[in-house]
Amino acid sequence: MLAQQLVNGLQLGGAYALVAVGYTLIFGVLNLLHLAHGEVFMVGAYVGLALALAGAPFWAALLGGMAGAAVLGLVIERVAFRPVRDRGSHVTPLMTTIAVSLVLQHAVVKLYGAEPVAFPQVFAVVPVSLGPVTVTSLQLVILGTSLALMALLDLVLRRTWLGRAIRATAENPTVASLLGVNVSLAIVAVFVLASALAGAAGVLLAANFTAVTPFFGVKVGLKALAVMLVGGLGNVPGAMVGGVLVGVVEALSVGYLASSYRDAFAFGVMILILLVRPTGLFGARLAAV
Amino acid sequence: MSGPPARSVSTPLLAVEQLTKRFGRVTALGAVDLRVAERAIHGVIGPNGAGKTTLFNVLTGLVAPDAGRVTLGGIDLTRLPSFRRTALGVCRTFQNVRLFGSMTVLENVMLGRHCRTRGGALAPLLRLPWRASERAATRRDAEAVLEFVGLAGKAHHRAVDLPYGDQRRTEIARALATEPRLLLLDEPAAGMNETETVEIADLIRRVHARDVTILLIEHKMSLVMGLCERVTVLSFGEKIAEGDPAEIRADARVIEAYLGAR
Repeated sequence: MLAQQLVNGLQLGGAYALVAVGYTLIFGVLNLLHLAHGEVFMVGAYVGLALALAGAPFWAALLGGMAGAAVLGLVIERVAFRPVRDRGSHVTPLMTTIAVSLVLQHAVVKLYGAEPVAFPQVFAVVPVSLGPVTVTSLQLVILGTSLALMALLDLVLRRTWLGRAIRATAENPTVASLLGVNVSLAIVAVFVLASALAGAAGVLLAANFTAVTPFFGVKVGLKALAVMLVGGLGNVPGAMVGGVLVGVVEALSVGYLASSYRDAFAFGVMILILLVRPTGLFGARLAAV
Repeated sequence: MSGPPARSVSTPLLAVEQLTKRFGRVTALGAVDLRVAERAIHGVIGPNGAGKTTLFNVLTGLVAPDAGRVTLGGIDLTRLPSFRRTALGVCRTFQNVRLFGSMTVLENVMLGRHCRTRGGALAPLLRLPWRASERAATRRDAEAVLEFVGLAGKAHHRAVDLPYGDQRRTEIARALATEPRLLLLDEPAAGMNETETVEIADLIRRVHARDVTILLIEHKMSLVMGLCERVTVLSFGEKIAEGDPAEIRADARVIEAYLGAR
């Protein structure tokens, strides 16, 4: 039973981590919160849904959701961040991204209605026994995909030209630009990466919960914010660990306590951790990848 | 000066014309003209607050001038963003060292190679042959620069863990990795003792021997007078003198500016 809930938690937490990593990347390079990131996740889910309804296989729906979210992230950077980035206060982009999130929610309501839309069963969900634990093939796909994407992100940040440029921009944009890094381009790349991961999480969780609504991104977005705080602002490995932690706590509270309090437990953990460690578990910035 | 003077006057590498920058009512740079000859070591001195660092900030695009023009080899840099100037061959170090604390010495220098490689996000991971070789080349280039500045053994230390003098060398290595035509050094010997200052002077000479033109801000007169073939003196944002070290040492206005400021 415990092992079963742990697996559920890991799978949920992996998806949370994918969204939280995006928040933290964007915060790392801009020191700004992107409050429409939950809606990027939601739009990714709807793009995946549209493809799945059109008969696309799951992997195509996943890639489509990532691509759609990435394009949306690009537009949001252009519309809601770049014009206000270096001017005005830190509050301005908070408001512009809240505006974007409302526009996106209502645009999707217009297109698909406010009612939940069922996510088609894209492949045969078969139970797989792993010792005492029974997982579904879908759970394995979700967990495997989240882990693979996070490992890929970690490699990109640590080992590539682009990753070095992003880390330099996060640590000191002025010096980065003096060394020839196109800082604006690095910021755009961060939005594309962050949004693609959120889009992937959207498709994965939509398949998991078997339905999507236009407000699907609100709760997950808030939870991912909590995950970012738990892991430490701007800290990518922190967001990964924090995501898994919050997911496991949520799954355990569903399994052993009352499922209607699952969100209360998830946020309760955040409050407890922040009381003890106000800068989160890992504290440091994106630069510390 | 080794070359014929006519050539250095007609074709300077760096030409600064009527450069002006005000901060509120303070004139940090007041219509400064400056020509730096190709392959020169050119010093900029002046009392604190003379506008030396502001000059570097304008030359590298960190600060936009209110008026005036900056050209490098005839190319107008005045409106270009910093990263484009770096690509065209201008790089600098800072008075207070600014290394990337989370990166190793080698990574700091590899970042300097950024503008000379095409890069890509996923390609290196896919081990595409030409990309993999580019990554290896970046690494080799960075290691060669570290060897040149004498830090080959410290490539994998975290940059901020190094002693101060080595951090300065790392910063110079990082700037050299961008393959500058013009290297701006902002007080490279600040906070160094006599031995370290001699070592830095030696490094600057070796950089110069690689055909890099150097513009040097420095307070240590022994260093400036020993290295530079030409010196410009700023005071309160104005150019008050220019000449070879002997002329500068004898210039009444320079002596007055320094005595007045002390």
